[in-house]
Amino acid sequence: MNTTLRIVVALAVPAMAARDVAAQWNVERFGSTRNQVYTTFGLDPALVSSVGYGRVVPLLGREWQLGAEVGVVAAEFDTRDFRARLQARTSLVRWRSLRLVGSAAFITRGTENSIYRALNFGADFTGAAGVYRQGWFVAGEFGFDKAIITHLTHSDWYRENFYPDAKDGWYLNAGGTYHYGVSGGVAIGRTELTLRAGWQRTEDFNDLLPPVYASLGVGFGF
Amino acid sequence: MRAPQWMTAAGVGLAGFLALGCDTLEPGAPGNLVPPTVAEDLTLPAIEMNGSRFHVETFGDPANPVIVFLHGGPGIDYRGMLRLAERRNGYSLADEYFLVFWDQRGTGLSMRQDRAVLTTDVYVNDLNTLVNRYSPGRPVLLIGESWGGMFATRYINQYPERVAGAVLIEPGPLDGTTMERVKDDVSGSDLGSEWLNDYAWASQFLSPDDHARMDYERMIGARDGQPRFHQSTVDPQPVWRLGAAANRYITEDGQDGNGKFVYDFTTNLPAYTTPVLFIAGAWSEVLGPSLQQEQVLRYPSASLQVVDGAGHDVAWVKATEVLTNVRAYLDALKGAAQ
Repeated sequence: MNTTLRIVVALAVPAMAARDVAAQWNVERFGSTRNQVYTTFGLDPALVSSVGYGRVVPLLGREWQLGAEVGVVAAEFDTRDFRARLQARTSLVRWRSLRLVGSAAFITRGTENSIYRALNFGADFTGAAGVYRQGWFVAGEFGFDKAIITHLTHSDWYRENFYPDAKDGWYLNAGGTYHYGVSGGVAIGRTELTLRAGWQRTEDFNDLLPPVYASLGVGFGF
Repeated sequence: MRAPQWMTAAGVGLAGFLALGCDTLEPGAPGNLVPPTVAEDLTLPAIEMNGSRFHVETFGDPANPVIVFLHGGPGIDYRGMLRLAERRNGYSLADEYFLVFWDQRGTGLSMRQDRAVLTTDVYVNDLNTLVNRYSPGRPVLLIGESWGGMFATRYINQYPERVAGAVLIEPGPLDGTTMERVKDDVSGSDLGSEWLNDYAWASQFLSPDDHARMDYERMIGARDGQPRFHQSTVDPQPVWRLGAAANRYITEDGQDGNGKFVYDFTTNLPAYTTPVLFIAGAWSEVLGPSLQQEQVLRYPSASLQVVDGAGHDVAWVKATEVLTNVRAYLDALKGAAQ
């Protein structure tokens, strides 16, 4: 498969599947709360605050929660470091209260730091297995977040002081991270409180800083 | 049905836009994000030694006494020490000495290495091989900055007879007990700091899965990562390329299994009676004058000079003043030997 085709396939597949609302909300409640707005805060992988909206729709014989989410790095509210996701999530397998939940997201990310400015397009696929009841859920999750293609523009500071020949442009296959941990939540009326936490490693299973992620969320159904 | 159609259109449209418009680059390819090493660019000045390839430059007459420069880090490189080779106020150290600058194993433009050979013992063996190569049968002078000052002390501790004198510019803690006391200040980690969040956020764009990406990402903290070091941001001390693996594994080599620093580079220092010069930048809070006033006492005969108007990067931003101190020290050594 040539480079161009790989890019098209890699971007189109997750866009068609699109993913979870942060793998964080209770699929058992899809029937009672068709719309949800929410906010999350956590270390994921920097200190990030997000807001999002999800809507449950029937599609291909299943209930899907489709949504969009925007987050920015909370440290000094740095809007140059942002993330936007289009996501979809559904219950794949169910036996009594046990469910296997799958989610996928198409992600656009940006960052600016002392050495470069970057725009990235990626995808995240996460599976969660656990107990889902109307009032609560707890699940284990495992996912992969792939940085499919990244555009880098090096800063003047980096060029002038360190490496003038650094190459700007689109970098293919620049990274990916696995994340694995637990998620859980409780519902109080139409309000849902959730928590996710776990570990993260690179796609080659090397260490990352930080090695853990954790996120608190509050959602309101209507 | 509208949402999935919209998402599909956006994804396919974006992919098409990108595919039509660009050639893509490989992040790990030599020269894209960070400069190539001597293993990748054979035109760079280099020597083969102890099964690896090292980036090395020399200045002056090889017949003169040898000064070996030991850069900081671990994992920085000698580029930030090169002002000490320049002619300032009509004098250059190269007029009287043969200057050897080298990037330690796995750092700068030297060949990248894996964890197994990134240990302090391997580093000492490399330095000993370098000393014997450029100054066989004759002791050398060492000028070490930060980690380089620790490294010089570690070498003196093992091979005191091979060192005719040493200048230690803001050496880090010479033993694990002291490092345990100051390590939080050295790392400078503040969970809410912008640079640390930039560093964490960057892992979504480039994962540190090869040396090029590891070294590149380490640069994110180069400007703001250690505010209490008071290093210049308008005239930053440059590096060729950071050595992320060397930084990590040499640091870990000084720790026990629980991450506690347990090294001690001073066990044999009482036997080293040659005068040693310490230099510190007056602005430097963590590894500056207060710490060096303690560390001077680890050597039987050592003195401290404090240079005004500089932080931890004193050898770069106040190179003229540092050279004046170094020259006076070396002249005194020569005078004592005659």
